[in-house]
Amino acid sequence: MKKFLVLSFSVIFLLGICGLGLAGSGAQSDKDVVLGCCWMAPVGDMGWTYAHDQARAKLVKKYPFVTSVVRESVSVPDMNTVASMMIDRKGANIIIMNGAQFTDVAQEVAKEYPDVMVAYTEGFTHKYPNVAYYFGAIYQPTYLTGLMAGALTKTNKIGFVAAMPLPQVNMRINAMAIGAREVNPDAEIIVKWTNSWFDPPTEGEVARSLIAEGCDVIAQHQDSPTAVTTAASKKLWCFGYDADMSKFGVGPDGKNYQVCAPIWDWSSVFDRMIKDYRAGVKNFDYWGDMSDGMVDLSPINPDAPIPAQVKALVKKRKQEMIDGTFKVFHGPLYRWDNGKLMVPKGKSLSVEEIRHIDWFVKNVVTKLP
Amino acid sequence: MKFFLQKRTDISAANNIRSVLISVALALVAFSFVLLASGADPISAYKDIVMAAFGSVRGLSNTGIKMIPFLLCGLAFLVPRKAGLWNIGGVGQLHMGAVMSAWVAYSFPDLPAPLLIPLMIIAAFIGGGLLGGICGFLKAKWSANEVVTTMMFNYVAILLVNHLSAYPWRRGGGIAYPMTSEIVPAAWMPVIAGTRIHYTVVIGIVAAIIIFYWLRKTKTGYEIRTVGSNPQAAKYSGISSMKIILLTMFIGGGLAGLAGFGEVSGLQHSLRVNDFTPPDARYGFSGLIVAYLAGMNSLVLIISSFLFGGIITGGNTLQIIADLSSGITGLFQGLILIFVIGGQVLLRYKIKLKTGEP
Amino acid sequence: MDTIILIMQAATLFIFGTMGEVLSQRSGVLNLGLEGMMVVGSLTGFAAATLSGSPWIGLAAAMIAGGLMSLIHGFIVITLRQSQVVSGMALTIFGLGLTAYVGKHFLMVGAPPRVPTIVSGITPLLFLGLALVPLTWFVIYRTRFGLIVRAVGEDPEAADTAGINVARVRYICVFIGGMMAGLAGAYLSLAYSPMWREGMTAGRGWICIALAFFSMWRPAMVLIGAELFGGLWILQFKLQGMDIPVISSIFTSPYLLMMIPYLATVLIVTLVMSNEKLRKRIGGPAALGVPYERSS
Repeated sequence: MKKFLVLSFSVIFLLGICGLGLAGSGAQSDKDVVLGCCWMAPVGDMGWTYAHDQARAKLVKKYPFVTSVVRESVSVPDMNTVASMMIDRKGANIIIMNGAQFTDVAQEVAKEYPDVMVAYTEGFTHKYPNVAYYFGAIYQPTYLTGLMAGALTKTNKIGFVAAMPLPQVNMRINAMAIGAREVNPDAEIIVKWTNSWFDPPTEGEVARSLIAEGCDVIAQHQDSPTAVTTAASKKLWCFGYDADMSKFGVGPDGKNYQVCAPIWDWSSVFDRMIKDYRAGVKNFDYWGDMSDGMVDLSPINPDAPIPAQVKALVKKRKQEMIDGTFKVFHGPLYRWDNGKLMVPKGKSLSVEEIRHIDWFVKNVVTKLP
Repeated sequence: MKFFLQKRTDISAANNIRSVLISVALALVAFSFVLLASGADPISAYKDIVMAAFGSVRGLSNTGIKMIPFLLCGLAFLVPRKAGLWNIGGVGQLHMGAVMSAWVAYSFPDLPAPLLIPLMIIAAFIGGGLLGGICGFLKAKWSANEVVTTMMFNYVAILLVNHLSAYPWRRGGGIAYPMTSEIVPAAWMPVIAGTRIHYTVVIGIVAAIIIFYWLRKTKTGYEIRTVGSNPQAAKYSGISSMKIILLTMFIGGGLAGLAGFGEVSGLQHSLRVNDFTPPDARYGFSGLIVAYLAGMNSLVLIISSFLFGGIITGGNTLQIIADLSSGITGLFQGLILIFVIGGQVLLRYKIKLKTGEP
Repeated sequence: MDTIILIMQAATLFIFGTMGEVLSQRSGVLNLGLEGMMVVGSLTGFAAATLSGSPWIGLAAAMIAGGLMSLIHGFIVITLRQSQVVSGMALTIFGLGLTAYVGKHFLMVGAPPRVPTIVSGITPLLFLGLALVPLTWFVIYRTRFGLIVRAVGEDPEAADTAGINVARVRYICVFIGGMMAGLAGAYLSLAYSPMWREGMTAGRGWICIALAFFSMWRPAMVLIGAELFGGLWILQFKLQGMDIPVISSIFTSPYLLMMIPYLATVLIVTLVMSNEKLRKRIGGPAALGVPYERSS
């Protein structure tokens, strides 16, 4: 009992000190923007979070009135604490969360701080007028990689190391399949799921088991470059994702085996956030594509033996997508499992349909778990 | 120069507090070097940590939220420990409680809150309790080591949460993360006005007080302590160790299950793959450490879990206020733990210098 | 054939980690800090290999780092006689935090110098892992050192009376266990998935602890358990796209499939402990988890 009393007193004493030390948070001029960046992973992940942090740095450099505060590896249970700390202590007025798992907590933070803009990625929910969400047509550059993969494969089997059967992964697998089929009608995309966004050893295992099944080109949708490393160690051509992963694509012969990677540039949406916030708007649904540069293709490896006509096709399609004249998901498209016609000839999927896509096109080989 | 350890005969409250305080101070000194090496001012960093954790209503609220799972998982470790058992399955029992209370919330969404929430609490207690109870049964009946079985069930329960949130209970609508849908608002545990601390904290504190008196003042409590301290004597005095093992493991597991209820009903409102409790700070494991810090006293546990919640909250914000790299939070916690555990030696032994004697 | 190689590559990591833990437990010290020691090994191996340009230096450095980490545990539980369970937990948290902090500087570095392969992706480490099985068996059952280790784990008091320095034996075993954990970590970051990312062990250390119990401290069982675990791990990807009547309908998700080894461990532990004869034959370390202090 005595122990209890002594400890209680020490707690009360501690609280007293805190009370005395209570100071106000840093005052901001109302035009200043502080980006509170809550990243789900460390910046050095060479992928998703890295791309986000690059955009943040770009905008801090671009605007003198923009500063930022960063916290990496935030988990969902900690998000509210981290966000409130950024707002209270650092005066953050735009909170950015780069993961869909933050959907619910983003609403909570927005409710608690109606003056702050809360933006998160890959979502569809906004219960409050200060919630914004953003994502982009990453399937466009992936379609271009599909064209190249279709030309590169000799076994007609393209392996895809995929995280989980979710729309943003599905859209990329489908786009790759559509592209590959366009140059090589026999090409198939073999998909295997790791059930994890980030687990390098598992990603390697899946890549190896795809290669063992005869795939000679490897693509991936994961947060680490392990699939690229694995393919390169077997001297197979591969495609990165999120950021240029050529650093990790060096094979045992010193040659680089990463062909290229579909990449994100989030600075356009961050720019929009800052402009909107200063104009008093705290709510948007931003869908970027190749025309505003949110998604792009990293430079193509000159060593990759891609036929000249395919290279020309890639260039042409890229321009058509920037101009908005080419749609990747154009009919006819059939389901992979029962062959049902999903998109008739002459039609194409709307962005909204693509964002909810839960089926695959015909030359994808996978079984949903 | 050699030193040796002499067993103390006077393990008192003052000694306990002194040893914990000395170890924390040493840990802080050690961590200061890390801070200096990173180019930060240790004094102001420590001030920031304390301020962030206890210096405002919101800070206290964040600390309080963390305290709840630490307290309940600490009790989940403490109760079986009194009977000489190691329940390191707090993580699994927490997940099981979360699954059970979510299941109730999804199955009976139309029930009014006064009915639904108690039902969830009971389900969570039974869920966690059964998982603990199974391990207790295996121990009592076939003397299967409870360290192994409880730890194995941690993974089974985490995998169950992953399975449910990725497949049968998966939220629709194209959301880009495998998680379950939000439970109905009637299933949300109310929060203390002006904070985000849900009333599970009251359950935790009341449970800690009840357990304190239950272990000290009742016949069952006496039996538990006897089985824990002297199994032979317990056997001769006719105490059924089967009953005691089953009871303590069931209650321990149930309390961890309540922590799972708190996370689902009071805080997170859904389950997620791999992210329901952050893998680097599994509450169940930390619960064990918190109980250890409290010297296995359930009243002191209330305070130690509060302070530990503060350490987590303060550490969480180190990158934000002091602009240090993200890994520093884990390093801070790790150092404190190592020092405090090492420092327990001050409690149980006197360190003496070996002088001329043989 | 390819599948078998895949499984064995996955299993090698478990063999390294588990074998060290088995030796440590044989001497009576439970080390739950395996995950922490392993992740320190991963980072040290990666860093040393990158800086020196040689994967072998990386492996050696990782083993030393793992060993040093284990000495923290050794000091707390052997010299200070504190709880092994709690200390191991703290070591894991500390190791993960330390590597996340120090590892910052190695995140953006590309692939490290890899352990060279002999044929089609097989590294010498795979054979080292296999060789460890008879080697450990020999050391534990056929050498004087093994006899001493078992004596210390089973009855430290008697061993002490017979003039054995219990603390020293335990320190040695814990240190070797730490070195093996470091090796396992470096195998991960230099051979199996050559890169460094914080938390890249992703729970594999805990699997090794499960395997140590699964094996009942017998090297042959470690091999079986590691291959079983590696096999199920690979099988979950193999099963994708296949339709096998019974299995596909029971294990509707890979998560359910992954529960098998954990449940199997519970079953084995229960079966062995429930049978007096079997338990005697296995002869596990009876003093596991108990700090030893001279009563005089």
